[in-house]
Amino acid sequence: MRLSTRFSRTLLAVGMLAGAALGLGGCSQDYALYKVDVQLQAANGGALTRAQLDTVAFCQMTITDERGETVLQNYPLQALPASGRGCASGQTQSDVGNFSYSTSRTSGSLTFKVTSYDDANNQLETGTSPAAAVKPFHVAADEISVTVIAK
Amino acid sequence: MDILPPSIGRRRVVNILFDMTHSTLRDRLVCLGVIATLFFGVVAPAWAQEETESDYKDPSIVTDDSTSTPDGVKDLNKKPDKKPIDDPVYAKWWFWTAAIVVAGAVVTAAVFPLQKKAATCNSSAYPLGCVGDGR
Repeated sequence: MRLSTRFSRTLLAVGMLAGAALGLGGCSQDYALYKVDVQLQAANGGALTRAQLDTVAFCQMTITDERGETVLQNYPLQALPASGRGCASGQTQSDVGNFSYSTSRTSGSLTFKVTSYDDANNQLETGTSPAAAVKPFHVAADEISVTVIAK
Repeated sequence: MDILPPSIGRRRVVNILFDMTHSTLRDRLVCLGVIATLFFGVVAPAWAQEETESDYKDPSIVTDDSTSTPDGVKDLNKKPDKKPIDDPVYAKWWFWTAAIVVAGAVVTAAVFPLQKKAATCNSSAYPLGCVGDGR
């Protein structure tokens, strides 16, 4: 067998093995799961009155990474039907609720920011979580709990 | 100086020389005749032919209207002869089989991502929903 032919076959075999490895790597990809709990409080840390909560029309969340780059922007915190949670005119609770966020990142950290608005799109409360490091999820204990308190 | 013996008369010697001279002259005429015949029969025609070919050109001289390249002169416009590829890889059956397999794998990976889905979302545990990669 000629040397060039043997080299070509070897190169082809290596390429196919590399492709298979990449495919298997994609199959075994891990995610980091964040459990984000959102709460609304008064500026002094106390509870919001019912009247204050009623002024909240909607809430949005923005997620940034450790470099300050936006990962998710203005995600609406709308409650699922019949859950009694989320931001909605006349229905907002101090405990807005929680949601799950997954990321394919394997390193770095994420920061969650929540802002509430009234019907006129005026900003009411806002709050940012501490930076939470990414941790691959394998078991339930790997879920990363984050609390965002908007004041 | 007298080199002849006395028995030989001077007149006789003269006659002998005269005879020799005659024979020599005859031989010389014969030789000249042969030479002249060869010259005009062989050499003269070649000389005459050279004179008639007035358009003869020296092949070592390159002029503007030259149509041929003299020996030893490199023609820069001449493309080198391509050496035919012996037993090319693309002529092998396994090459195209592998190419089709790889192309199919790439298309499949692009159309049907092999990434694992993220953990399923329990709506009761997450009333605000589940978002992010793998969902």
